[in-house]
Amino acid sequence: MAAADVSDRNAAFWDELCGSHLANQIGVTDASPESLARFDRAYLDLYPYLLDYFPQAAVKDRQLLEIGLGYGTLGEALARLGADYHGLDIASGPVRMMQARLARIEGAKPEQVKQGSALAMPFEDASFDEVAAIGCLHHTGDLFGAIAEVRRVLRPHGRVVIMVYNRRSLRRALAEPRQALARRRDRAGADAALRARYDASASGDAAPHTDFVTASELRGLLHGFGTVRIERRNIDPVPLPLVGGRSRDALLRSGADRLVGLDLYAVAER
Amino acid sequence: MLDEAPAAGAALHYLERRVPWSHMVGDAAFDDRNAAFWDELCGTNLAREIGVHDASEASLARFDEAYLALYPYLLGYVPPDAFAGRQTLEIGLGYGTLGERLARRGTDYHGLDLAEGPVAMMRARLARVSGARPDQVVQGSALALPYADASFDNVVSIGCLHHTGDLFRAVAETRRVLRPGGRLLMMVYNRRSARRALLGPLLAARHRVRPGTPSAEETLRYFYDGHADGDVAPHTDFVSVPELRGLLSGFRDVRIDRRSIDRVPLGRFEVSRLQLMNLGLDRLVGLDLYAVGYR
Repeated sequence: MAAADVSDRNAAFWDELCGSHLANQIGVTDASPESLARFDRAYLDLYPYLLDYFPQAAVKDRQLLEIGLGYGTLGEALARLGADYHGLDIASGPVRMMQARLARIEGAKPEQVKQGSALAMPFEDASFDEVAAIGCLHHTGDLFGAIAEVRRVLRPHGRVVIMVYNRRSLRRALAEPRQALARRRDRAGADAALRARYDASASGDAAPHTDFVTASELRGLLHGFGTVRIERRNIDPVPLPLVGGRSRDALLRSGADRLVGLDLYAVAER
Repeated sequence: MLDEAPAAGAALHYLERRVPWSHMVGDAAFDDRNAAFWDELCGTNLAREIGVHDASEASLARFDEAYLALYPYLLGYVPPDAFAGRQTLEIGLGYGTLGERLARRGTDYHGLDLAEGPVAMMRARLARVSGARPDQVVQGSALALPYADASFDNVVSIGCLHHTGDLFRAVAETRRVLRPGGRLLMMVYNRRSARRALLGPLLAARHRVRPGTPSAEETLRYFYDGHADGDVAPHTDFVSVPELRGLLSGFRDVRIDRRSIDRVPLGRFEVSRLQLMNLGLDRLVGLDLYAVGYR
């Protein structure tokens, strides 16, 4: 698929906010402050480690760009922590959501949230002190190009927090035998089914493009940054009650996700 | 690129020195130091060893023969079909063996080097190749290639990009100047080589026992790229295979091979480089990573 094609399909796919499944689950159907607060609580319960990657000292009064906005939980939290918040998303839905959220925060600037591509960001070189991209860059169709862009807009000694999917996760390992068979029958269909396990719309469509990387590969991708720390986070419940199945919470508490987690969080300094 | 382990005397001379290791990557002073260092052609140690001191046709032919005997797999990475009639850029020229071969294969050869010496050498070589264009060899930085986007069908860079101080940007630049479908061939040093695994701890222990000596990392760099007078390349990155795979995730169908290996210097039980390579040990713990990928 050509890059421009992926971008067009991404703009359509991600217009349905990432997080819509969760919103449906907890019965959030509108964007009132109460509903969004309820969504944010549920979201941060699911990813209890997320805000740890954004200590106030690293965020407050700094020019921060978030790429890939989804339902906007993180963006609103960053703006409330006192960041000079800028947002970018390829789809209009998340942009409008974030603008609506920022409009309710004193001092925040909704006009700093824009629609645009992570592969050609509408910002000058060295514009930001911090860039956050949680679960976004692996969907752009050009992970390398996206990281090059992040590096371009970041100031020297700027900080990035990037989350991308771990290719060596327990989920991938367990799915692999079946996936290998399915790929022999219908490669495109099997790949789409796998992508849908990570990102699917309400109608069941898979995200147009998803890259999976290992921690070492991510370290290579981030070679242009000075110090890099990579952590594995997030895990599926193990649904095997007979052999002592574990809930997601119990697994997160035990630290199993730090070994075979779904998501790679990289914190790097330029 | 290392041609052979530098003479023992020179190595010791280097080991006795304390080298301030404070370069600032990406600044002009660093580029100047890189240009100064690489102005002495990469391959000079080998040339001295075989007694080549001039750039006459006969001398260079002798150098090239020795060079290709050291790296017998090198030409296998440049299949004629991929080059004839195509536009090719080589980055990092050294003594010019590979560049001249490429030009003789009928590729439209362009060359770039940060230093003056290798540019002059490659121009002199191309002047002797009919149809080649010495004016297409220029001095410039791999971090800001003086070419428009999508200018080349091939980019070749053997043992160079890890010295630029910004490997990521250097790779991004090769990608920028390649046409869609274009082919990248690059060699960078393997971080997981037998040399680093065996020599690293020894040198670290030595550094601990005698704190006045350079660190293991600095000494290792000398073994990779050291001048006879003890100078060492201003910057060298080492990457593992998975890291290189990540760095090249902007390319399709990437293949990475490990190549080249040190001899095992055990006196009368010495095992030569060639013997080790025949055993295929370099494919497991080799010094150099050769990557081929397509834009």
